[in-house]
Amino acid sequence: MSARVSSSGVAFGRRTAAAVLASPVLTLLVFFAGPLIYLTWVSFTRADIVGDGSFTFDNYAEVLGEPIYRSIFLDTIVITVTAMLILFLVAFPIASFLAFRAGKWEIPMLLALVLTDELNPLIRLYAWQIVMNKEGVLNRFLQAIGLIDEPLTILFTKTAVVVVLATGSLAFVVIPIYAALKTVNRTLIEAARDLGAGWPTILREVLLPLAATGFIAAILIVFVPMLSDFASPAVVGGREGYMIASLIEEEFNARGDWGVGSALSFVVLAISALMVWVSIKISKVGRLQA
Amino acid sequence: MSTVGERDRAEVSARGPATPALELDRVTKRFDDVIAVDDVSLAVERGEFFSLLGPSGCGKTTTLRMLAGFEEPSEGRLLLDGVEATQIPPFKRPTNLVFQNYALFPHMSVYRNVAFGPRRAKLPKPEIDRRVREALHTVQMDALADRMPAQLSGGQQQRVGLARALVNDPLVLLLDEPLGALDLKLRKEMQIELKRIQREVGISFVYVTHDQEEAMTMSDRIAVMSHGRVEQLGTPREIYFHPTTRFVADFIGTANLLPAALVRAGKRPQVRIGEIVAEAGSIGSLPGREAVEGDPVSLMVRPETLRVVRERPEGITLPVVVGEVIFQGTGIRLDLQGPGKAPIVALVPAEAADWRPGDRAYVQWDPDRAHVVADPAS
Repeated sequence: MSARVSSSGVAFGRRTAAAVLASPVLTLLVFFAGPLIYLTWVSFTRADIVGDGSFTFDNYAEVLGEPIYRSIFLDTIVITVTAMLILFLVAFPIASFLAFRAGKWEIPMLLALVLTDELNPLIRLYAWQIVMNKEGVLNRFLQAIGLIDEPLTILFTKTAVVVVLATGSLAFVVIPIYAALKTVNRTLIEAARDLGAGWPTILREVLLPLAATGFIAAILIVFVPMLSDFASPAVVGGREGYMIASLIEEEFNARGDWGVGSALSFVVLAISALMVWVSIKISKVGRLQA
Repeated sequence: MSTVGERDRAEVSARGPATPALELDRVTKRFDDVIAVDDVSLAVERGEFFSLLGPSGCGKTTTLRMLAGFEEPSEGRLLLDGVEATQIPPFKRPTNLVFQNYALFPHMSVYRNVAFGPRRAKLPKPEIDRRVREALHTVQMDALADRMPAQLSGGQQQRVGLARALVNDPLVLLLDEPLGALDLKLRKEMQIELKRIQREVGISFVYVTHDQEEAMTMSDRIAVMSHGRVEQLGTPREIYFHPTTRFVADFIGTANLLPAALVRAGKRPQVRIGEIVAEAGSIGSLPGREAVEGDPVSLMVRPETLRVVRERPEGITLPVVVGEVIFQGTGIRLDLQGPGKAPIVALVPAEAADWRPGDRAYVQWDPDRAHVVADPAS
């Protein structure tokens, strides 16, 4: 018998298997690995407009050494981490409500959550611009209820970018946490209550450790794209809310320095990988302690 | 702070052995229009193994959940150690619950699961350790303290569940069909084991089950429930031999309930079955009004108290035809047809006469072991 039976019970010949796998593998090689390898090479060459294409470490030296780059990296991390923390704080109660309390409203509310994400991101961005403007809805409202006398400067600040990033990915944070909580048997909560635990303890000792996989998934889905978002800082960030992706875009398009642009990209990639690794580590440690 | 909020044995026992560990006083629980528990009153003594027995939907689990504090009674009061506890939330009650699905924390080792309660009580570390080890020893799980729940069998998980509850030294331990998910052989072993542990620790157990055999094996007393009410409360022996209602007679063990009409109530009740008038040893509760001659009743005779003979014997007897002959190892079960095709089951010794389907025979019983119950419609 040359045919193999896979775990799903479907028999595949070797040739068929190769044919089925060929298209995704090729796609990945040509459109993903290829550019990545090319950029790796570019990042080690003199590739600005007057560059001769010779090998060099200068791009990385510049990216990691220049204070201006470092401060932009730091700003980017502060903005995205703040947005992520806000997302967790908002998403966890929503996810808990959906998983344990929503009853017949569970599915309609999930759908509503997904629908909010269907709005075109660019339209959402410009809408935020109108809302956060000096003459915008938010300032007028705050003045109308007498909370402030002078309009606040919200637009073109870090805060504006944080708000836009946090509101843009709510569904993608709620859903993985909701899915993780959904697998938690309600009787575990009853058991904890019966054994003398109040709600803070139940949260700390039972729900958060068991929802850890959801938090990790949310970080993977949301944090990395936020780190490399350039539309939000461009529309609502201004000079203060400038992020690393805007810088990369500028290196490629405005300054034509592909070498530095590529080096910056790889540093972002490294930071993303590090963040993901750290969050996985933290969640494992949390599980052992709980 | 009232003593009920504390988990302090010395203080609790200072109230004296006469106070029941737990009392339900005319408790009713309604969910919207459905009455789950209907005017239930009962008391569980200190160190007693008490079972709530009944078919699904009879209100036994709701009753247990009210004892644990997960449901609040719509009416009535709950007293723990003589102190009103109706409003006390679960995490402050001196009760602990053992769940049917174990409900162990999957991300914690056996040890940490058991230590969960003592840690909430903020006991000193060495005391926590001592208690956890002792509890694990009681359920014979000392060797597996470092395992995760997923690495344990169902029976082992329930031992951990038991240790996790016992370690808190509760006033009353509540068990919600704890053996329901185990296979028959393991269930039988665990019944004996549970009884041993209960005797060892001396804590009152309230045990919910739908398995009448299980309840009889372990309990000091049983409350048989049906439609939210306690049908009968008594020792396994009382409930088996002297059921007060037809429901109890039918639910507990196998009962032959012969349709009859009351002739005389009282100490030596008499009933008429067709042509014959039979005497019985006892009579269950009758309709609220004065029982009168002719009231429809059933004469209950347990299968193992029936004698089956070929020749018509002296005294009260019923003619039967043998239907099925079933060899059961410990004995032979005869499915008989009485007068009017009424089904009668008899359990006879395995070495008894060689019965065949279609044989004609007579059944006889000891009047002292026959019992009269009222029919529900009357």
